[in-house]
Amino acid sequence: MKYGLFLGCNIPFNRPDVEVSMREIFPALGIELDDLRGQSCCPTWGTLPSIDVVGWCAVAARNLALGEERGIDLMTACNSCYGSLNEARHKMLTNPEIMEKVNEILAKIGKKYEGRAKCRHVAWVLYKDVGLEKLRESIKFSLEGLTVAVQPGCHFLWPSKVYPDKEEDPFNPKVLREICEALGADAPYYSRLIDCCGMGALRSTDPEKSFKLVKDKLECIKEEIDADLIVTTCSSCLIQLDDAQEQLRKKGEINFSIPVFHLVQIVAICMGFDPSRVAGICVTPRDEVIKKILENEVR
Amino acid sequence: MPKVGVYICHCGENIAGAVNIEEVKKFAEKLPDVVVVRDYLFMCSDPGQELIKEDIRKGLVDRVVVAACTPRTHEPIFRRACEEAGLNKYFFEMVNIRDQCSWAHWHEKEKATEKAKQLIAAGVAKARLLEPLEDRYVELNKDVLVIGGGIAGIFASLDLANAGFKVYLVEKSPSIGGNMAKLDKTFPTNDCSACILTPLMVEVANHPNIELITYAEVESVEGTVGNFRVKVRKKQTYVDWNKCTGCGACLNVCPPKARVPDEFNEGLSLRGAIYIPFPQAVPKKAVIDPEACVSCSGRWFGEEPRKTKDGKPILAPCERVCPTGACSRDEPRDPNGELIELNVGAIIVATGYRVMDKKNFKEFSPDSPNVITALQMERLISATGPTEGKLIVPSDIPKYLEWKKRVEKGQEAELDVRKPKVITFVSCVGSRDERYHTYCSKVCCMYMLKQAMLLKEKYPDLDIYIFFIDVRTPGKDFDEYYMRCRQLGVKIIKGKVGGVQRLPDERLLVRGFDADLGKPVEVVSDIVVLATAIEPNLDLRDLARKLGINIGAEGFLKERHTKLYPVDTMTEGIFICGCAQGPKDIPDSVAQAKAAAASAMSLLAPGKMKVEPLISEVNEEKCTGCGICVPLCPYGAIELVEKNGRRVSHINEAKCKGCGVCTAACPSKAITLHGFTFEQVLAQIRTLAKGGVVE
Repeated sequence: MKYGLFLGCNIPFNRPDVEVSMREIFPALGIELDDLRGQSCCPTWGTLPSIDVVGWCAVAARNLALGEERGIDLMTACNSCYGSLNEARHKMLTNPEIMEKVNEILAKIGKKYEGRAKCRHVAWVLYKDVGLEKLRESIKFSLEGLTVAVQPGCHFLWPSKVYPDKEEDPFNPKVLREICEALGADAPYYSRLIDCCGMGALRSTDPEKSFKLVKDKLECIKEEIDADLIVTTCSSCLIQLDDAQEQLRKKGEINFSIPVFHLVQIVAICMGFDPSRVAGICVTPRDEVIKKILENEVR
Repeated sequence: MPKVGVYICHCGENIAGAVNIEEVKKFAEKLPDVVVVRDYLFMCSDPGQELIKEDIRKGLVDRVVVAACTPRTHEPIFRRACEEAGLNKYFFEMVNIRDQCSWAHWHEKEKATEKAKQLIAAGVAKARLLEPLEDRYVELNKDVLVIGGGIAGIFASLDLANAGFKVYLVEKSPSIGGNMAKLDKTFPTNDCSACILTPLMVEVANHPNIELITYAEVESVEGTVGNFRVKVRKKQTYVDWNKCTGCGACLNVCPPKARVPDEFNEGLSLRGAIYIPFPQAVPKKAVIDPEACVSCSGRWFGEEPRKTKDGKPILAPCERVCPTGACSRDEPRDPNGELIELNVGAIIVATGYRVMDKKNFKEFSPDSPNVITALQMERLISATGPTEGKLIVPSDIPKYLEWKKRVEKGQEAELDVRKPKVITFVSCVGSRDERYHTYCSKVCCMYMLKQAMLLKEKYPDLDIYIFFIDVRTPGKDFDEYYMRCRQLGVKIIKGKVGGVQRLPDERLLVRGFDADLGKPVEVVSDIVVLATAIEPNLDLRDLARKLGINIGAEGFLKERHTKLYPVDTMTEGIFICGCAQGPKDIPDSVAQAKAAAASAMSLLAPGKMKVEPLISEVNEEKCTGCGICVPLCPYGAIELVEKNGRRVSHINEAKCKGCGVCTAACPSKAITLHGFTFEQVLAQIRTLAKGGVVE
């Protein structure tokens, strides 16, 4: 099994430790990675998707075509990339007019996109391609005794019709919970599980609303399930929950601290990779929970 | 030579707005045998009809062509005008230049005019060849079958029975009463549903002209108006209804493992495999649900009972406690029940509706027991409901029932249940939503207001929110009802609810948008009530197929004409009423039921019915007796008979509907369809093929 590693912008610029995690865990789990040389911005929300549908699709199609040329699908750890690429693909597949215009543009650089290559999410690759059984067998440390609050994030779920892999009930998503449970954790439901983290365009255009969303979410996690850590499938959610949490603390709006990890980071730690390399960058301290995990050696 | 008169209707602007009447008139005047062409604003009006009559009386015309709207509604009107003026009414031909010309080509006026000319020319070509025909009469059976024993079926039956007609009322569940029996109170007067319904149910059961057939379904329907033959399957009750007195002794002994969700309480409680639907059931008889029964004695019907060590037979608990022997398992029972045949002259369909299940709406946390449908709310606040009308959160109903059981046994028990403080209603769940149903379910606004009002009057401290898209209260005394509800302090929010999330203590986080504030809002509620859409019953499509009546796009039964024939169907002798025809409230259902009964009466009362002579006839000289037509007839009207030593086709006049299938199929052209003879139809086609030139 081989995937084109679609890094996007957020991960290499802000959280390169997430990239390290992916480059460690997937080869170890039998998934080959292709660097997909020439990849660009997906393009992300708030840029082309807001102003030019065909332009959006053309940029997305160029990225997808890189995989199509190699006969492989793309794989990403960023929900924005996952959403933008798949929503663009859905538009092209359901609207021949857009597809035609996109290919006229791609022809100028000697490329074309036929709609075959798609973008998979790392969580679904872990869940479906690797499988929970193999994941369970591959970990050296377990999350036993720890309560995880999962954060699948909006673009992991919505709009459900555009995605190659679908939750049975996107209002009550189970995949991320099941992966965390396979790692040994308790990953209960909480009422604001599918709420937005407040990142996206809101963080830059209306910080007040953005902070309210993240505060409601964090308080709910604290009050309802008192989680030891938060695990998300999205690099944007990771940054928001980690960084905004610190700002809320500084402003005195919350008085607790819950470390946040990307799913691939927590898998990497459980598989025994060096935490300082795979989960070294954060604002909300992680040391204590990492220490707990490393005490939980699987025999 | 025939003398054809052509009468062109403006239909106000409906036709004249697109068809150039003057041009058409000039064209028609030049058609062969046309002696008079007239136009009028409304040809169907009295003065319009008088124009035609006058020309006939003066002897100016002896063939009439009216170019107007649809023959479906207006042909009988003009036929009658011809007849009144002394002309055989089958010397009349109608051309539809409204639906086919002006309406279809409103923005292409020249084409509309041209098409009108050609259609009129074809009509004239046919009119020249028309023959006089005589009406015929068929005998009618005066008995009526009513399908469905809800409030609509009950009223239709009572009206017919009181007028002296024999009625067979077939109901699929063990008791009549329908959905109305489940309601607590009814808007806009808040009278108790059971109090107004139960006496009617008893009246139905005791009426000498009504034969009540419950726990039965229509299996097949044959025949036509005046003579329907209906097979009805009476389901196996597994309880001898001749012996059952409805005492209810069997209900409590049915073991816990045989308990299933109670339909009457909309699944809020459980019932045994042996059950009486509800305390006021009519007839009050028990049935055994064979899918739920676990045969706890180890013995099915007709099997030898197992014996105890000292040789006594082991009986099922229901069998043991029954004082009359109605539950005896000694005799075998046919699981298919019994098939009976009814002969009736007319059928009224009143099969009602069901409400959409909450499971369809994943965004509203349907897994939570405290998210309920409005019909479940009715049960929760009803005195005959699972909690005898005590308002508690539904997640605590099991606790309540456990407490009740203990108290009944005389044990001491403390009732520890949560009473709701906040209740939120969500409107248009599945209605006015292109993902489910685009129609408005019509009753939800009013019943939400009703439930809110009843709750608020009884528990003034209760906080009640209703999220509406629009509040729709057009009806007698309805808007006053709405205002009263507002004055009571029910909080009405204009806006949609986007989602409901479960909180760990089984309360619910309702997240909506307040369009007046322009902001998202959140309400933590103890109960969320979903006003789920009214839907056609699952088996309605199947029943419609058996009856040969139509279903509309939204899945309800289709009336013949929305305004003029609202309870008739395209099949003569079959009428519809109540929610099977579309969502409606109790006053509308009752009004429609009475309309359907009156329509059936006016059809059947004369005892015979005039039938148009537009049917097929076999020319026995030409018929070769090949029999091709026999299996083709959709009405089973044709059979082969011996005549003068040879086989020929014979068409039963009473059964023939004049569809023309046999006429078209006959290889020796031996069958004539009166009113649509080969010559007449070919003349029309030739005229159209030649662009409006009549040969």
